[in-house]
Amino acid sequence: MLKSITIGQFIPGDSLLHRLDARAKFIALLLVIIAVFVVRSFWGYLLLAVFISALLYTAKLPLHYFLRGLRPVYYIMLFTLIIHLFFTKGGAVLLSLGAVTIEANGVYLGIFMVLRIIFLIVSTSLLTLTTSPIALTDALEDLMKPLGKIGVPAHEIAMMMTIALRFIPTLMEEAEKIMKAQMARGADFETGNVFRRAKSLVPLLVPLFVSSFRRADDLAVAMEARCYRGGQGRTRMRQLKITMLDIFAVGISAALIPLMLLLT
Amino acid sequence: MRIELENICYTYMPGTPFEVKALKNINLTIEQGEYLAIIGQTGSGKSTLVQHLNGLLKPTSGRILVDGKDISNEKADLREIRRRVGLLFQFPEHQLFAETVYADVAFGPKNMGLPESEISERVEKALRLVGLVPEEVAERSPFTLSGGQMRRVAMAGVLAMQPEILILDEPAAGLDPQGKKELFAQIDRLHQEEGLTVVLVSHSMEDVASRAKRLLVLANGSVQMYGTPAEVFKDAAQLEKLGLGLPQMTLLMHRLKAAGKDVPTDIFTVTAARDAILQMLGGQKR
Repeated sequence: MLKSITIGQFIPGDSLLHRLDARAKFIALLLVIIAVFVVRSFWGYLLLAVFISALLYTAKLPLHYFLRGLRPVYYIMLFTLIIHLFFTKGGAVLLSLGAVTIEANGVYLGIFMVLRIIFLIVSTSLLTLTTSPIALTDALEDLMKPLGKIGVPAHEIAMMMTIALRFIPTLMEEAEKIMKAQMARGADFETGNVFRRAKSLVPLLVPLFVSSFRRADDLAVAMEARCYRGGQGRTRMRQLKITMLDIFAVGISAALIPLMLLLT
Repeated sequence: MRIELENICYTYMPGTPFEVKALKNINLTIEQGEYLAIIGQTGSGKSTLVQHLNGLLKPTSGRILVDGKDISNEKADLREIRRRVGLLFQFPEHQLFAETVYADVAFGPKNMGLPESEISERVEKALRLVGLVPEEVAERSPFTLSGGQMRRVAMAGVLAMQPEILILDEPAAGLDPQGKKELFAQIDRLHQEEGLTVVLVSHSMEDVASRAKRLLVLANGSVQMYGTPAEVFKDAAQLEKLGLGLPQMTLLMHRLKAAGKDVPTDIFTVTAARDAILQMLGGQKR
């Protein structure tokens, strides 16, 4: 039920990708995403496929984690493929059934679009699966620091994200516990029409809200008791450090973009 | 009703790096009229175990028989089983949700599809059973009550379904000594007067030793000891190793015995200890 949802799907490990600095990974991901959007030739796709497969191999994670990430977009991929098959025209006619024709360009574009979606999802999963949520928010805070000059509260945003991420598993656990407690009293969350089901969620959501507010209150008091005053002059337990490896990773990802533009 | 567990194993998140074997080969029979205490440290699998008793969790392997019928079977009527096996979770006050105490306690009976008249009768009886006065609390919001009262309301919510077995997961957690005493007295009364089979989950020997008829000691997901309190407490060293220890009075008796005094060691309460010591002293005088 709730167990099948993994949020902040970080899988601990000690691969090359795990050891990269989270900021470097974040920037590299952005560059790869740009590359995925500018790619326009068969050789470009091939190069990207090789690049991402190499990263997958380096991450040393079971493939099914990545496949699971793709599951929610199966329908989008199928839809994209079908639309392109039937509506993109040009090139040789491969199949024709009366007014409906499938032409070569449609097949190419359809497959390429699906590949793009796969590249996007897999490369994003590579970041979230190899980076702990805490490292990720630390990286975001650091990358957003320059925005502080124009009044963006980078530290506060990062702190909010850290807290939210920290409490997702707690809330899931709490939700599951309350759900079980109500099921023990004969509650039924699984059958009935939409309205019945929505109504059956009340005994789950009310206690969940109550405990979330209580938790938030407790946390605020605990933070104040420790003299929390926001980001000014705050040091970190884990210092972020850029190594040659990180520069290398960002460099390679950056090189992808001109390559994609050149390979036509 | 009788619940039998046969070779129950349960694994959390199998096939991931987070895999945990919570239960390993548990065999247990809970007879009608039993008063069983399940004891173990945090993480020993107590809570996981009791969630199997009403089908909230399905064992990874093994069978659970309720009155001889296998409940891991697809066709098993879990709602009927959950009605007969009442389970009160730890910190049950966190599950209260309704606008009034009455509505919250009535949640279970309503889910059973009982007529309104029967529901109100059951709610009133359940509230009285946990020591609350229905006229005073029924129309109040549960969130305006004190922590101890909220817990009683939650307990009434389970009792209103009139289960045959009552399972309580750490029912005394976070209560003050007085509240604890009252709660346990109520549970004892339910066992004696209403004839409920009781399964008590706790990490505290002190709380359960004097009332449970049978103790099941869990550690790392497997049964370490099982028997009457007297039998279990005989092996003080083993309990110590499991981080559980003896009730203070039993420990005192063990020490006296080790010092060469002639006292029984199956003693759990202050009163019984006093009698035993008086007898010992009297015996020496003569």
